[in-house]
Amino acid sequence: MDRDELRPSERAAFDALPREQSASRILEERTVRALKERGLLRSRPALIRPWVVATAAAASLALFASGLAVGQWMGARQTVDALAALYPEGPNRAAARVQSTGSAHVAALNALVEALGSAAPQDAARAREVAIATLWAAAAEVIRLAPDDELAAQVLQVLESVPTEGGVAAEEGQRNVVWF
Amino acid sequence: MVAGYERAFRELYRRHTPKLFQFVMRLLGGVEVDAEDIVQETWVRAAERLSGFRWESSFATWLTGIGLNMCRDLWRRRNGRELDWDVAAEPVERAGAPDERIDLERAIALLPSGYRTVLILHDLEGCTHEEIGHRLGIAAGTSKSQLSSARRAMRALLNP
Repeated sequence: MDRDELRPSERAAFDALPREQSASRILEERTVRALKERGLLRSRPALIRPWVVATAAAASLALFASGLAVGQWMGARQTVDALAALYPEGPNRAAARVQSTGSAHVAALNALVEALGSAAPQDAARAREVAIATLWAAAAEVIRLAPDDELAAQVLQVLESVPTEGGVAAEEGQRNVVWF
Repeated sequence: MVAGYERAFRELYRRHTPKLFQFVMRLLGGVEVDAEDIVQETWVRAAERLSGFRWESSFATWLTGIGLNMCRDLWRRRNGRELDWDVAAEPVERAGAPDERIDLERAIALLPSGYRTVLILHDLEGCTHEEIGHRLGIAAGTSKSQLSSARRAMRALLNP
């Protein structure tokens, strides 16, 4: 062994050193103030307008069908979400956001499956409609991204043949799900 | 310049500042006042450059890289040069606390800034000599030789 290499006891001592240290709350406020002074940060404006209220009311119906999904999504947010909220999306950041929200989508579906264990039949049908409509919309966006993608086209074709809650096969724009 | 939202920034700040603060504190030899100034300026610089962040490295790595450069700027302003490789140029004092963890922390703090930086990047942050060379603008071979010297200096402080 090279005599300058770390000995096991030294390596252990290095590994035991803390990797994080809390900074004072004052530093956070100082930093926020400095960013605001430079025009790099602003408070989110209030968005309470009539159409926002109407949209929120409609969204609550879909939220009901999604069960615990929103809570899981909130818990699963990572750095990439915070970054995306801060700045407009370029292709790389948008791709990272798709990855992040894809994970949240799978988690939401998992929560939905568990929540449907004791649900009424009509609620289960509505929830299934939401889940399929989400898949359909995602496949449609992939087609926009890559029009020649055969897999996405097949997925879309199959999903469009799936009857909606009313018993009719859906066509583009006919799925009765409120997006929010 | 794009303005970001305060709530999202605070979430980002709270997630990443503890690691950044510890990293900068060590680089600066435990001088808390300087470390706080550097952390603040690091976030300002990061916010200015965030639109250019390309996701080729983790955000934490990118942020500590900015923090490292801010420390180098501070050394340059104060000492006229970025990194000090000369043991004799800075006071050396035997670490006397009985607890080993504190001894090692103090020994690192007492190293000249150049040795300290290479030691922290390699032995604590896990950087390769190529990465250290890239970050500090030195050859990988220089990083390797300086790491050997840093470890010898550290042992001399721990076991005089």
